[in-house]
Amino acid sequence: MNFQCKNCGGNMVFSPKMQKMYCPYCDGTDCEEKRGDASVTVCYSCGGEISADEFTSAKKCPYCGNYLILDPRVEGVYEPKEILPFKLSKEDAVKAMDKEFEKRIFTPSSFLSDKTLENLEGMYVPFFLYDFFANADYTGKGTKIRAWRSGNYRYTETSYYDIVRKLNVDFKKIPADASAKAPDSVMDLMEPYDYNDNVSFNPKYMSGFNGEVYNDSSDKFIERAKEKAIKSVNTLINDSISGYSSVTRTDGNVSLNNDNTAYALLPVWVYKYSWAGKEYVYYVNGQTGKVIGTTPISALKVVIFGIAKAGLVWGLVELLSRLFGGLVS
Amino acid sequence: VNKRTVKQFIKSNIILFILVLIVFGYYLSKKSQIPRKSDEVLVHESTNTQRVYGDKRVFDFADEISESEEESLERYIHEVENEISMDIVIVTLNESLKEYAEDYCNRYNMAMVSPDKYVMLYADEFWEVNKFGYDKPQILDGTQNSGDGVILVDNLFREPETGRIYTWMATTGRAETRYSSEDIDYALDVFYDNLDEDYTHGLMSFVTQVKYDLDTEIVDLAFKPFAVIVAAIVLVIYIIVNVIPRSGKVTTNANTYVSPGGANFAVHEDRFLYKNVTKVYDPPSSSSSSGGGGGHHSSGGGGSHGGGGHSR
Repeated sequence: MNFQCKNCGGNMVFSPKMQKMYCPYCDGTDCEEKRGDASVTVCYSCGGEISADEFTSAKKCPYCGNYLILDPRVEGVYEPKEILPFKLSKEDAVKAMDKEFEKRIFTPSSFLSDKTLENLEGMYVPFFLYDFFANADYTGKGTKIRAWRSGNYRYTETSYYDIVRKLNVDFKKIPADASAKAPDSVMDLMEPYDYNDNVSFNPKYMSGFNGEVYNDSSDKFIERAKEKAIKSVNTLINDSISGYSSVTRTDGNVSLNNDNTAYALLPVWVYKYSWAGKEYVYYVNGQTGKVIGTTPISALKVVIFGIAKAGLVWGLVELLSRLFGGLVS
Repeated sequence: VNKRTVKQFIKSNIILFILVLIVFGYYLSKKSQIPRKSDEVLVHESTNTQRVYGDKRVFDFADEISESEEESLERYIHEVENEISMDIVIVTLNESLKEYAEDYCNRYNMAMVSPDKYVMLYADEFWEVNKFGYDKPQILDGTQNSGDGVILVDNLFREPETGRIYTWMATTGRAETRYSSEDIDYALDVFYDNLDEDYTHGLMSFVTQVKYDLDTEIVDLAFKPFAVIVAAIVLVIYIIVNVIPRSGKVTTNANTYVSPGGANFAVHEDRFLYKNVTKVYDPPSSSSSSGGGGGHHSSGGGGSHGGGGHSR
């Protein structure tokens, strides 16, 4: 399917800025008309063949630039329960990256140039959001040490404690991405998303962006979510133990009950940048603007500026030590 | 290197730039008042022609070392003196200095000093009266501007009040500026550590230590290794920090996915079991050191001396 403007017939896209459907041709808003039907991989506008891999759910036509949503990939078992529509426009994503990389002074000058920014695209990444109810038991030994002196004697008092904790935690929507294309470590760093902006799925939010369906069933990704839950439980327990000189865990167990799982699409801006024969990929959280990715670094530049900085420091210390007479003689 | 990088570099180091400028300005304004140590020609021929004993540096009144040992020690001292441009004088005694000290203190209206300082008075006066000092004899104006050198006085006589042998190392002129109490202590330690084996060897080691201490000074004044080391550390840290790729910080915490009020401790107990107390005999440490830094002081005659003593 795709969304066509009732007024001019142009391809309507979802505008993160307006949070409305928008026609870039006639500036019309919310005047979309859904077109098309199942299994269409041919562009409505130009008739071009759209090559979609097995997980693609939305794509831009490489010939005319119109956006297509593949019906079978957003319906039935593939219909997401919820979607977090893009909050950041393309310009916002560029600003977020600019701000982030301003501090990293060794990025090449072409890094965010207009030409390379053509490679910045919005993508709805498939996620499973897991609810867990956690029961955790913890037992440990703690010691408190107090020392004092009296006359010619030194006293050390060691007090021993049993530490017992039983913790129940209700986790809601722990995310795990269900896409092989999205690196797990990066997606973890993208978190958190504010789910208050989630809405019931409607394919119109995908117009103007790329999209994917989950690459496998939810039980294939649950372990990653469990790890996050267990880590969180352990931290909560550790935070509740304080005032000891030493703590030794003697026993502990966390059981998780997965009581609900939802399939959702979350927004990510993806920017591919090639430099010195290597491809760098940057990810911007489409809701919060958090930027993840490593910048290319010119080692030579770092050394040059490092020497400049060291020179400044040397000058400062040298002058100070001359002024105040040999800090270290 | 593009403009953006340079701009960013200046921006992120603006405080450092300003600091350097301020300190540099301050340095220029104070430059005339800073002792011109680093510009001084440190190694030079001795210009003192007034020494009472001429080239003699070893005064073995206690008769502790043989003639030939004395000669070789004297030779060694002259060799070192030429390298470091300092006089090095060694005096051995074997007599009570109590009367001498009383006389000295009376002469200059000073309160009587304790037995460990008898040698100090002797050293200061011996230096001043005999006009030692590599550059020139010490001008008794209370400054450290003249009379470069060190003197070691070892009195083998055990003063009856304490039953100990006292040793004093006095520093004058440039040597006084260079030597801290710790350095003096160390040089005396070197002497003490080596004299049991052989007395002359102890004296030789002392001279070697002085040579080392003052040689280092000459290098130090040429440039400050401290500043270079700090700068090198900054360089290494800067490179490490900038070369290691940074991906992003974790911005979730333990509570991110916990529903509101969703974490509850059904059991939260810290049960006290027992305690034990250990008692260790550990009396406050009392100082057993018999040495002590003399630090800076003025002689009765008005000369400035640094110094420190040890006893055995």
